[in-house]
Amino acid sequence: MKNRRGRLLNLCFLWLPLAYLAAQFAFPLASGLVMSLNAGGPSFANYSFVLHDRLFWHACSNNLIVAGLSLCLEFSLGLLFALLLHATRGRSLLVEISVLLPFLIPEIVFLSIARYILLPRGYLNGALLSVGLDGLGWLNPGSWLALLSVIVVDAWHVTPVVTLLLLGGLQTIPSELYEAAYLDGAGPVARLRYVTVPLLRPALFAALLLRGVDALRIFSTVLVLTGAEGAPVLSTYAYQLWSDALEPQIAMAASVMLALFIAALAAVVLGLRRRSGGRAETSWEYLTA
Amino acid sequence: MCVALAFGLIAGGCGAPHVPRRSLTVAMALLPGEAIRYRKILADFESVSGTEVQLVTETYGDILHLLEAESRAGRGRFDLVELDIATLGQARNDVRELAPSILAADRKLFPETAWRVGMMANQLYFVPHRIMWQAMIYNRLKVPKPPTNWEELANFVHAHPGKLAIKGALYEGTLCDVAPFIWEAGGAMEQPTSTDTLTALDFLAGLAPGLNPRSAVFREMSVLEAQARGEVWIHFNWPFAMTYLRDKGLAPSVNLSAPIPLGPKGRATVLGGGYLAIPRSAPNPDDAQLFLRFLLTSDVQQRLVTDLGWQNTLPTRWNQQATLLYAGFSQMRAYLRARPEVQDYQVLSNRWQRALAAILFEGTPAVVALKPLTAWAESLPYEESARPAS
Repeated sequence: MKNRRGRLLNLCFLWLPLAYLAAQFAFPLASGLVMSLNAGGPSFANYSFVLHDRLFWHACSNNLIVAGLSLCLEFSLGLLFALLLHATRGRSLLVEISVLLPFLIPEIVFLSIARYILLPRGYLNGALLSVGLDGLGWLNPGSWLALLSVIVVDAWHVTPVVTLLLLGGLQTIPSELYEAAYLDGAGPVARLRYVTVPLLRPALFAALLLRGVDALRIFSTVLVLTGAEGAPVLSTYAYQLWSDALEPQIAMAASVMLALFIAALAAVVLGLRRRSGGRAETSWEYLTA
Repeated sequence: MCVALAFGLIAGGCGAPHVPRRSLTVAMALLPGEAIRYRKILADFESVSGTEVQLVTETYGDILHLLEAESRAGRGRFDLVELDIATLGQARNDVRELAPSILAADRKLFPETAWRVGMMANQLYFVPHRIMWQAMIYNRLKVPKPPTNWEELANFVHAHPGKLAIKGALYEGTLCDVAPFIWEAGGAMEQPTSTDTLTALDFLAGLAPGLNPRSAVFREMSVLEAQARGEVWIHFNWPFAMTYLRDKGLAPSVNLSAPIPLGPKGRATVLGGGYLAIPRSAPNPDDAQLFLRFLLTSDVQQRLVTDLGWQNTLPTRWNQQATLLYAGFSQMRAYLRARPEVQDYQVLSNRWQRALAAILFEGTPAVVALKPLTAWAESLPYEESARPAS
């Protein structure tokens, strides 16, 4: 009777979800792989095309630059906003709304607004002209300024996610630790450095993993602001191959490479987390020993 | 009791005997405004034939993908699809041959070049639905005298940097802007390193520093928006651009059309547009053929011209404003040229797009940028058999 119940539970909680995952994930992945290996017959020609394409390497470097700088900006601002919200919790609804607003607006609306701000005759250049300065080509294809615009807009849009994740982490830190640190003579900077940051590490890693993967997959921000060619990243590169070049097999090869790239970086972050996991809890104890 | 009886009668079908209506599902790349006007023409067909037409509007790219998917599956939903002229070679294996009687009866409706594009190996596969070609669109307030030849165009660019734009994104539209210059120099896309082709590319490379800096990402709509904002004063586009500008109150008062500047060996513009085809997997191919015949009548074609602004060879009954708006397009009608009739046009086009991006926006010399294209183009099998017997 007990065995039968166990089998039933296995079926419900293990095999059914596994079957669902297989249908939703493994099958498309496998068919994508097969497609990427089809170049009029099984071959690696599509991968070879991608690896020999100058635009692919350009997209790769842009992808790393955008993801790296965007994450730096998001985490700096996210931590700042999270600390601010934590300190003023329940007291300033306005601060909460203004921090979270960019994420609450539908993405396409947000990006269209950003585009209107940054266009050659947009609001930003209008503001510059009104104070006697020349307008700049914020979205000029192939320029550093275009890349910078993408980074800033992306960070602006998703910083609230990082803020929320870090705020959740901050709320789990017991206030007694801060009191103890205060009694030991630790100032605000020392409390941040030796209490907040170490104990926030699990939340930081979670946010880094979540946002890191997302930042590498960046697509709509680039497409709306600069077009697929303006500041190409790997997903817009694959999209251009699929939609304009009508080369779905090569596009799939590029997508598989992007997926592998993301998986490798995610593995690195997870490995780092595992290595540093033990130290996080003991930082304060180590300091006060 | 009465209510129950009424429900019973309704459920059992007490009205007139239900005769299933024939239906036809068509996929077309229509803009929302066009679809509304096109539905009125479909309504006429429905009343004449008794066949209900379901119109699905999609982009050309998506229609091509769904055609391929249905063909692979061996069964499908669509009876008729509209395809971009540039993708006909790619779609050929997924569509049915059409009865030659269509061609015999209605050949005069479209230019010979347009029909030839729809034929492959002496068989008709694609019927012109709408044809169009490019002309130059200019801001008449900023450019009172639009450039009429290459020299004047070069002078304009030097005098007004950033005010000429081309559609330079990595897509087929780039070739629609560049191919006329290659042809006007006497060159050909199939001969990338011929002296004449290089003459055209050198001329364009000379213009490149003065092009609008966003040319590398411009497409039909984005360049048109830039023209509407006054950021661009001259660009090349399809007739719909004039309709768009007119609807915004920016034509003919601000913008007008003119012929593409004359090159050293003549004038040319690229034939574009949509073609209709019956998928191999079409559930109702006979009805689809019937609809094609309906479309290819003079009356319907005249309505497509007047109601939707589409083009054929019928005399155009435009009012004074439309005549002014489309003046440049009317003048370019005689200089239509089709894209190369090669089997693998898409590959040729993709390689050209990459080469043009390098020449125009990265300063790569044409000979170097065209290197990957040259060997491939030299081995191209010209599809002589695809040309119809004249």
